[in-house]
This record gives sequence, C-alpha cells and structure tokens, in this order.
Amino acid sequence: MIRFQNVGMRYGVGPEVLRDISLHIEPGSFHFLHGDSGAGKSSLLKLLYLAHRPSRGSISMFGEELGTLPRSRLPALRRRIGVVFQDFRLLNHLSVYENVLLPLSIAGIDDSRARTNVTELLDWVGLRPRLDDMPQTLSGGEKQRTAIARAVISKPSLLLADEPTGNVDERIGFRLIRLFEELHKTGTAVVVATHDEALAARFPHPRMTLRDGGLNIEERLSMASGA
Amino acid sequence: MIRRSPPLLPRDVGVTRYMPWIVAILTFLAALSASGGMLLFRTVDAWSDDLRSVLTVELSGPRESLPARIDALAGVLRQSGLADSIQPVPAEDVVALLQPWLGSTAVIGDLPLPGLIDIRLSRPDAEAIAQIRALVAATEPEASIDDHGLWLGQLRRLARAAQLLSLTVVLLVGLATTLAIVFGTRAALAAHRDIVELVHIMGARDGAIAGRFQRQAVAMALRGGFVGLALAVALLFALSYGMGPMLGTMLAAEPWRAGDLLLVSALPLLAGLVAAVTARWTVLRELRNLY
Repeated sequence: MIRFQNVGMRYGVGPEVLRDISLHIEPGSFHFLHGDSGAGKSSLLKLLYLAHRPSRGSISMFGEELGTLPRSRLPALRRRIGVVFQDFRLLNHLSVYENVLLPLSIAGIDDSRARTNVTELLDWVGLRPRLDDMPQTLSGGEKQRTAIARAVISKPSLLLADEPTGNVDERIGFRLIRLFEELHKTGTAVVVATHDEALAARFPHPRMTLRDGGLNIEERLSMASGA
Repeated sequence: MIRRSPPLLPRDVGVTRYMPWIVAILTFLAALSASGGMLLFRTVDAWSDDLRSVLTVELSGPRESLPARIDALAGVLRQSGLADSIQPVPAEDVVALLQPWLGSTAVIGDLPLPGLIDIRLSRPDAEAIAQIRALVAATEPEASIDDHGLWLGQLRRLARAAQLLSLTVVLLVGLATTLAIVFGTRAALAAHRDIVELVHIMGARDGAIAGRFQRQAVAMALRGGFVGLALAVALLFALSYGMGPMLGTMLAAEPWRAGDLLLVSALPLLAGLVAAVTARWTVLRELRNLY
C-alpha cells in the first residue's frame, strides 16, 4: 500500500533528518514507530501524511508514484489518510460535531448522509453528550477522543497517530492503543508514533525505530505481559 | 436536528476588518474622479458644439462705407439658407468688446474698428463652412472669417486632459485596491496558517480554501464599494444643489448621460470583481508553496 525506497528528507537547505528510509506498510497492518526526541518520527509522519516532499528517493502510495503524480491529485490521496496529531489540532471555531464532520465535508459528502455516522462515532468514543460543545471547553482526554474520531470518520486506509499517549496516564494510554487495534481490525493500516516503548511492548505489533535518521524495522515481537 | 456542513475557515477569516473602509474611500475617490472627468468632458463637448456652429465675419475699411457693405454681405448670406441667423454686430457692441482692455475713453471711437457679422450655422459641418467662406470671398474678398478653431482646439485638449486625468486616477485607485486586497489576504492567510495547513492535510483542494477567502474579500469589497459610491453620490447631489444656479449656466444641459452614470454605478461591482480575482490569485499562489 505504501512503499518508501531510499527516501531522504531535509528542511530547506539544512542537514538530512531522514536518510535512506525504506519501508513497506501493507493494508491492514499495525506498526509502532519509536525513536528518541528529535530522531525524526514527526518528519517521517509528515512524509506519510503528505505534508512534506522527500528530498530524495521514491515513495509510492495507494498505487501511485508520488514523484510523478500531479499536485492536483494529492488531495484525493490525503483523504485516504487519517491523522491524530500530538496537539490534537482541533478547530476552535467548530463544535465537536463539526470537527468530526470536517473530513467528510472536505470530501464533499453531504451532512445529512454523514450525520448518523458522526453521531454513532461520537457515541463510541463517549462524546455524544458533548457534540455541540466547543473544543475550548473540553478536557485533554476529550480533545484527544475528538481528534481520534475526526481521524477515523472517513474510514481511512491509513491511520497515523503522533504520540497519542504522550499526554495521558498509562491506563488511558493502553486503552487508546486498544482503540487503535479495534480500527485496525476493520482493515485500516495503523502507524502509532510513540516514545513509550514499554507500552508498545505490551502489543504484538512490529516496531520501526528511528535512530540517527535511519530506520530499523523489527518485524514481530513477542508480547509482553498485560496485552 | 438540521446541521449545516462546517465552514473550512472561520466566518471572519480576517481579510482585515478595516478593508471595507479602505475600499469605501478608494471607491469614493474613483467615483468623484470619474464623475468630475465626465462632467468636464460633457461640458467642454457642449461648448465645442456651440462654438462649432458660430462663425464671425470681420470687415475692415472706411468707417462710412462699412454699414452698407455689412448689410450687403448679410443679405447674400441670408439668401444662401446656410445659417439659422445672420446678425450684424452693432458698432456700439464692438466698442463694448474693447472697453475691458482700452477703458471707456473717447479714443475708442476714433479707432478704425472693423465691422462684424455673427453667423449661426444651420448645420455646423465642413461643407457648410466652406460654402460660407466662398460666398464671403466672392462678395468681400478682403473680409476674414473666424471659425474659432484656436479656441476649439484648446477646449478639445482640455477635454482630453480631463479624461486622461480622470482615467489615471481611476486606474491608480484600482491599483491601490488590488494592493490592499493582496496584503489583506496575505495577512489573513498568515493569521490562519495553522487551519489552512490542517484542512490542506485533510485533503481540501486549493480552490476550496481559496474560495473561502475569495467570498469574504468579495463581500468586503462590495460593502465598502457601495458605501463609497453612496458617499460620492451624496456629495455630488449636495454640490449640485448648493451650486446649482451658478453651475447651471456653465455646464452642459445634460452633464451626465445614462451610460456615464451606469459606469460610475458599476464601480462597486468592479471593486468586487477585483477582490474576487486578487484574493483567489493570492491564496492559490501561497498554497502552491505547500506540498
């Protein structure tokens, strides 16, 4: 589904933050992405959610070679990717309902057709009573669940989560990963970037580790206790 | 429960709140300049039409024989049927014409003053003027004819200069409006960069993002444009009411034509069009910097 071959990335004329990255994300797979602070996790995610061009190498995504793809066809690919940002990035001028509806609205799906899905999803993440509230009035956990609901509402082929457990305690973090596993079971490929290797070790999913700009992939781990 | 699709960007994307006032002031200036230019052009045009139909024949020679020669020439011209009126100028009126320069001294009466005939043509075209010239030359070979060509030429140059000045001001105002909208749109984009980047990542097309800015810029420009036009119209009405009697004698009978007024009334729509094109172009150009 997604294939990187010898991909490098730099910001402007700065040094390469990612070097010779080669990876393959298959449909319905689940990966953890580890790395120390500054190792390039966010940069790799930016390449994955098409916010940044690679400076070298080739990326193919959903059967399209990005190097030769016209810019006008990128929005259609972006709509197949859901992103949960570390800082949530909810839009403060929209209610919880409208934030979750936004990806469908961008895709041109009529609100009347989307209403049931949005309401059911908000019910699933426990935010139905707050669907008319504005993000400024939500707690950190509620914002995070709203961000997750927004990322998955369009049933993306790929879900990317950047440090989703960074602001929550271990118990909530564990439940969040279980939530992503539920999505994964519906066929969505998931990549969770986290520095919390202990938490990731409780799940039997492959780990990608960034170190000095390079990527090391461990195909499958034995599960730690508690998973 | 009826819900609308969420707007990509806040209702007020901040294409700077003072922008309607800038557009209002610029439209006000453009409307005044365009109206003033048209007014001057129509007035000069009316003066020119008036002058084109008037010729003055000048006869010189012994004072005693002048009245008879004038009457004879006037008779010939009347018979031609080329003029609406043939009016010999009385000698005392010729003296009165010189008094502003020479004063009311008795010496004027001793000067060899010419005899004048005012001719108002039925149709002020070159053929009629040539026929009049031929008749005058045949009857009084020494007589000269003033067709006011010098004065007409100066009037026409004045009319052209007024048009050019008016057009220049309108173009400069258009340029200033364009620049104001470019900078306003850029400021709004910078203020909402995080939102723009987010919806871009979610797959919003550049046109959809630009459309939001475009709609607000157009609404703002139309609002400012109509306020500016209303202020300009109010000022013109006040001026024409206050100075009516004086202007009435100087201006053309029809100082503005329907087409002129339509053109000035279209200025707010022009401002809206400039805003639509400029805001869209500015946003699309900035978005091209994103992947």
